[in-house]
Amino acid sequence: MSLLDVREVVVSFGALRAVDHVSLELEAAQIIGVIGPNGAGKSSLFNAISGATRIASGEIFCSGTRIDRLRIDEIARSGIARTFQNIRLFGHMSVQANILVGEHATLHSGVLADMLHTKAMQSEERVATNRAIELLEFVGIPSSHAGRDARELAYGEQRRLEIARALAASPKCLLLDEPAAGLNATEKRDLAKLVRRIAEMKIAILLVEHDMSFVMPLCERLIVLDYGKKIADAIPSVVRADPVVLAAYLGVAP
Amino acid sequence: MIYAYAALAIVAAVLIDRFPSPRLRRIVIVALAIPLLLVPLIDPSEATRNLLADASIYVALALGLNIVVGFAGLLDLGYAAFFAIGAYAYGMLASPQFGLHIPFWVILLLAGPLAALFGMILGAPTLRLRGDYLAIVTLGFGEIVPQIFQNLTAYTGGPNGIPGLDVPSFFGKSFGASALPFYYLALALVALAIFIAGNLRASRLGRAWLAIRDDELAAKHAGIDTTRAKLAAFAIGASFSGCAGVLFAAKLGLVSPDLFGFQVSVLIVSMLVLGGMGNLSGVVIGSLVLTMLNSAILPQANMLAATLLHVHVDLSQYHFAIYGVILVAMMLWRPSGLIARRAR
Ligand SMILES: Nc1ncnc2c1ncn2[C@@H]1O[C@H](COP(=O)(O)OP(=O)(O)OP(=O)(O)O)[C@@H](O)[C@H]1O
Ligand SMILES: [Mg+2]
Repeated sequence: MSLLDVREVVVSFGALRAVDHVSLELEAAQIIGVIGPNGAGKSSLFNAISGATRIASGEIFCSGTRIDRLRIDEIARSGIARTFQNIRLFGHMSVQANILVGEHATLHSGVLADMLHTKAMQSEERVATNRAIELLEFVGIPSSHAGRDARELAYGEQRRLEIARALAASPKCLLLDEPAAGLNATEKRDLAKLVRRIAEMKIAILLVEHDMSFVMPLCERLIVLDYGKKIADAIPSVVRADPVVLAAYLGVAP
Repeated sequence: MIYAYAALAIVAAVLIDRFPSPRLRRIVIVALAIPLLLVPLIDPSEATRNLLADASIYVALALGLNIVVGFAGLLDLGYAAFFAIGAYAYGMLASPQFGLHIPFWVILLLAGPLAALFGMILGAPTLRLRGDYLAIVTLGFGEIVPQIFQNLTAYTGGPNGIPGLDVPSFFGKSFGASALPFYYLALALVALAIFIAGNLRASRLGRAWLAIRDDELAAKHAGIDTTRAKLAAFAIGASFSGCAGVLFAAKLGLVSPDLFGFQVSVLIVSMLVLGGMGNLSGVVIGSLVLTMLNSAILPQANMLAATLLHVHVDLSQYHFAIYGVILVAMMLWRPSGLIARRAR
């Protein structure tokens, strides 16, 4: 069984089927792109996988465990981390604290240890903080920014901090919802490199993006959604030439 | 004298946050704590001691509520309920009411866990609520608890409450009529609250609270069990309130339901808003300023008005109006409190 296995998932909002019987499989170290016109259901699919939206039918497995009935935090702990289309950092917390929150599930100190700052708690915190700084540098944010409020970072840095926070949980699978949105050409190139390096860490990556020039060279496979339905699932060069996909994007019948 | 104390405490609170090195900070805290311990000895009037004890109890209450509101962002408008529970625990267990005379110290130790339990019981139904809705429901609980104490006449003395509570003693030596021991105990509670809250803020649980406050959904996606984290906030916050309630009841020698109404909850929230939520020194300052305003500044202002302007007013009757003005002014000009919070 694949690392992430999405089977016939349906997400409904009243009469609207935002995700309509979509299936996909994702392996460790694989980068798969999800594309489609606005309102196609890409974010809804991510919300379904990460538990933010209940699915109406279908099944989702992560490394063989069924996760679609679990709470959001349980799904996160089972190895799925995500970023958001509209950045959702903890704006009033420091950059470093944002990453430490990401590490939450990997830390073990309990309430009493936290109250008393026991020796064990302090040494765990030291390790966690070092790792936070490493992650900060890994995503390309200068560690001198560690103490600043997250909301003070530049836009591009905020996007990368969100990725660092997601990585802090040591996920098996990372869902990136439009990570390149609003970035300039240089930042996009750096982001593509970063995504590749994350995949090299044996993390499976599912990535929503509108910018074809970003997605094409990066993704091993592309899944195209339109009105909630999967209309294509192939390597990028095949998807680009697919008349059904072109029609969906241009709004004409194939 | 009392102003000197207040000024000192405020300077202390401001300074503590300004020293980045923890070692230096510890030295400053100790240096400033010594006068706090000595003030009531320098000015031995019972009125001063009483005021100091009350002020310290309020600081402890504010620090406890700060965990719930300031850290976890849960606007609890019924916090006085746990104060009442602590106070009534002492009232029922250490008085002629049931002829139980359980030692003060035992009740003081048990009040924390007891209030924590109630914190979780009253917190549990509110877990899915946010903002305004949470405020309304907690406000309701804050009203219900003293009402229950009022209606359980057989156990709690009803509207009259329970008078004649046991005077605590320390190794056989009675506290007597002095407020001094209560001042020192309340100060110890404040110190404990600052220690615990400060530690928590820089910990896994404290970060989880701050994350929930900033963005609950993102916190869940980071793997935080928000239910547990919120219950922990309610429990820890309530436990300080419970201990403060025991001190308050034992010092006063009686409990009655009207001591724990909505106004107490509002007063404590006002302290947080004034000082700056989530900020420990801000909270201490906010609670000191409001206590001083209530017990020292307003009566003085009354006297001034009478002697200078020949106007006879009782400004303490208008203290809620004055809080209101302060709250609105804070929201307009300093929404993050007198002491602005810094990044951490
Ligand atoms: N909470 C919701 N309630 C009702 N309808 C919703 C909700 N969330 C999404 N939708 C609808 O579901 C459909 C899919 O939305 P979704 O956000 O998943 O699209 P998307 O592919 O991510 O689009 P975009 O490229 O604009 O981000 C849209 O028609 C949207 O209006
Ligand atoms: Mg979207």
